[in-house]
Amino acid sequence: MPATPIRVDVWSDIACPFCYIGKRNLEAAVEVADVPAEIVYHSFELSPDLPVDTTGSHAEMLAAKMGVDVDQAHQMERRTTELAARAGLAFDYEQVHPANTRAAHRLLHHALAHGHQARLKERLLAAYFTEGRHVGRHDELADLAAEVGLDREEALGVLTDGSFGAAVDQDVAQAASLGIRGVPFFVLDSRFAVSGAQPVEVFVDALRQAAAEDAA
Amino acid sequence: MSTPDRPADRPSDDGTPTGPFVVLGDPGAALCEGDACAAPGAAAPQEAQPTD
Repeated sequence: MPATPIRVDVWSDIACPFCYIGKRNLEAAVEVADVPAEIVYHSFELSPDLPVDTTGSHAEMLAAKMGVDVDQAHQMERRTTELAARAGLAFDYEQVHPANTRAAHRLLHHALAHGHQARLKERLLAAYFTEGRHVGRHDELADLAAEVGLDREEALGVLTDGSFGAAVDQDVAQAASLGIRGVPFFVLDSRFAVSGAQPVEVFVDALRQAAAEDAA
Repeated sequence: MSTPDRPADRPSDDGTPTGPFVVLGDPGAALCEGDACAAPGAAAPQEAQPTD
């Protein structure tokens, strides 16, 4: 086992089912590989033009995006829900509120500065995919921040005054410079990359390779 | 994405990686790209139909 944790940089979004599934698979791999990891989340906006408040169901929006009818969109949701269930996640697409996620990403940078990023990332993903919470509205985000130990009023101030917008932009720009076109995207120890919600064993292999290189 | 056979450059000053990377795993795994998500085995988008 390496003396220092393997750093894992993750580019992901909130409204990204495979980011949540990939997160779970990575966490499972950390346990299996018995390799300590320090995970840092970076912003990636899949739908930067989406308004904070949207109308219509997730399936209707998915159908419009993918050029399929609503029944086929429901079929795609069911397929993703099955994959999520295999990772131990209970997605509820009937309750999902599609929303712009930029404010949530700014809040994640605030949380990183206070040592609460991992907890907030998990809280935001669960809120969006399993609880039908609105992850675009400032009041709701401040509530979620408070639930993971951040000061609610301070979080609300960050959300209101636009703080950490430059940090989000920097993450997005760096993703582009690295050639990242899809998420989740994982970089281990600045050496190894894993693209997509890969199976647990792929993450185990990546962690062990990174640990072996550190030990060499 | 390229898969270089040499170790990546060292990270930037703040620890954020700069690449290039050795890419592991099947690149066809579940991924969200361009505001849409696709998984192996998921329903494929329909082809656009002629309007005339």
